[in-house]
Amino acid sequence: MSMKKRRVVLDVDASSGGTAAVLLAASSGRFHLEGVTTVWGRKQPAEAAAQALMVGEMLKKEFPICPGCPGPLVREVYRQAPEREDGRKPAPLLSPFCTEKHAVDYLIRQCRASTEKLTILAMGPLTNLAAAIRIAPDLLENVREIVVATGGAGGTDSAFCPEGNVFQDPEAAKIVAESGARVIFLRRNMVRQTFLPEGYAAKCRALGSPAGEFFARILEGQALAYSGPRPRRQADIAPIQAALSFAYLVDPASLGKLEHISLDICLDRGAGRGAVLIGDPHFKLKKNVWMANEADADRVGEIVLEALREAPAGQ
Amino acid sequence: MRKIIMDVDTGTDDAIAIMAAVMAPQIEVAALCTVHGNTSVSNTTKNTLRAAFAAGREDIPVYPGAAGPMVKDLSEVRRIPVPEPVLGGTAEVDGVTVSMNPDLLPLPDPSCAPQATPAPLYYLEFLRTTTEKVTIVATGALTNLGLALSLDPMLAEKIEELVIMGGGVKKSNITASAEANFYKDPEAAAIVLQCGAPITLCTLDATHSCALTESHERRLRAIGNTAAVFTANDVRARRESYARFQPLERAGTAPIHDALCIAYLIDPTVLTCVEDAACMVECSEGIGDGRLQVDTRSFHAAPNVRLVTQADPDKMCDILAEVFSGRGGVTG
Repeated sequence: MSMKKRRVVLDVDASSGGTAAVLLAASSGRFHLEGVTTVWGRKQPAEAAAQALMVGEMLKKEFPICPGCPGPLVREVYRQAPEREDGRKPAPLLSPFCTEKHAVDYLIRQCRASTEKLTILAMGPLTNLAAAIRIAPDLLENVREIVVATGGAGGTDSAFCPEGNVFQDPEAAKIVAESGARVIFLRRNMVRQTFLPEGYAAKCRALGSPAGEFFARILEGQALAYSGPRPRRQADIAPIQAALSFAYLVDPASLGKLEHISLDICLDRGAGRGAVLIGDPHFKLKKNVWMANEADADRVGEIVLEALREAPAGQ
Repeated sequence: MRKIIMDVDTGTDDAIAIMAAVMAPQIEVAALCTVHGNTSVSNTTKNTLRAAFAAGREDIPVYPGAAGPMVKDLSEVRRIPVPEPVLGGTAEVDGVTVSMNPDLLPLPDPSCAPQATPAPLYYLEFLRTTTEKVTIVATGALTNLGLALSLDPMLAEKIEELVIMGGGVKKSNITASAEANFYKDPEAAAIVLQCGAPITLCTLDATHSCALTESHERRLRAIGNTAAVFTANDVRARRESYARFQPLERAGTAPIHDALCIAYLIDPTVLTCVEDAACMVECSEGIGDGRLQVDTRSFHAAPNVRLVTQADPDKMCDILAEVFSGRGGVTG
């Protein structure tokens, strides 16, 4: 009996995590990848779109790719009289290989038109999603859940607010958290606690497929990035938020029991800006987000390998 | 003929601006976008449809816009409502109670419905594909434009001119610091003022300076058609409301704020004090939230707006009277 495929939309930046998420979602037979929307981050949306296109070409799969917002929703207005010459002319949003529809336009129309509820996996700053919700809040009626990877270490993070995707656009993160949709937050501390089994990259490579090789390189790159400032617990292991996010979609139990919490985002203009705040349950605050606290690393690894095995063998 | 898009929170003065725009032979209204502000976006959309219909142009597409500000309501402190006594003003005209800012305008409903496309997406589609620049007249909170420019800042390059009713230099209304349109979405106002498009900013100072008198009211009422009588009724309601709640320097007058933007497009000489200025909008949890800050230092930042602080009330009335007389419209 064939299993009904879950319909997902990915909203990704140009990070390796975003690309890995596209790779896994497009490879897996459990999902119908409706489309990929791209958002700003350390690079422009067009570059994220180009990476998603590359994954599609590698897997010989086609899906809409829509570049989105080139910067945060409002953060720039809080700066003091910025130099505007460059700011007025961001990198072109459109790539000749991508559909010309803007990510936010795509999200709104796709959700409104869908006959089934969609799952949205967000792997970058939440600007596209927040803008879509502000423009057309009714789109949430057709959203099953929004899975948010809050992001990890990087050159643009704050020392006090390590969750890069939230820090980059705190207003957007708060709009999504308070949207009323079922929102799952996968936080960075989880990533740091979850290590794929030793030799995992080698197992991916041993699949002999371009997808396996690609994922192995992402893991090794992440391992190298983390090995400098933060010592690894074991050799050849790398935390990766895309794997956790994907594993949750396939098997929610892989991330243990979710906790329903009251979550807020600090919007102050000081050092705390972008901090994720969890309300003390004793205060009986309105709960708005589900949070994952732990993961079964072995199960996460199995799920990812299963998806990579479904990818085309390649040349 | 100048092609414009209007972004409105209709609103009696927005309705007057709409009617004047669609009846002016110099102007082609390509679309009407609605926003939260004077009342809910659901009501401002209905009112916009009614206003266009009253002026004989229910064919103009109406795009419903944002129901709330971009981000202001995320802060508990900034969400605290401020009392707005002026908006509750009413007056008796020929035995009929007319309100300065009713939730729904006393105009008939058209048969058409608003468009399905939200206003910010309309801006995105239209401005990305148009081969000619367009003028945008914004007379409400700037949320739709703020959102559209966040989606694609390069849209500003397709805007010929932004004519905005908003901000105040020496005048304020909703708080001690701010004018209502900017106060309702300060971040959107800040984004728009920084976008790089040519901006003509008709401030509260300008709209108060060209407030209409009882004599102007009589002249408009004498024209007799729906648009003119509607405007005259609004002048009456505003004259009585302002006298009661917010006495003006020119006693017994009525500012029809948003109509100044259209009057300017018809005859720019209605503006009598215009200067290039470097302006910002404060976005904060303090008492200055939504305040228009003009940089008056000798070493100020590069000017980003044409700041309008004074206009001619007699010329304003002349323009409205000519427009309302010229096209006819529905006899009231």
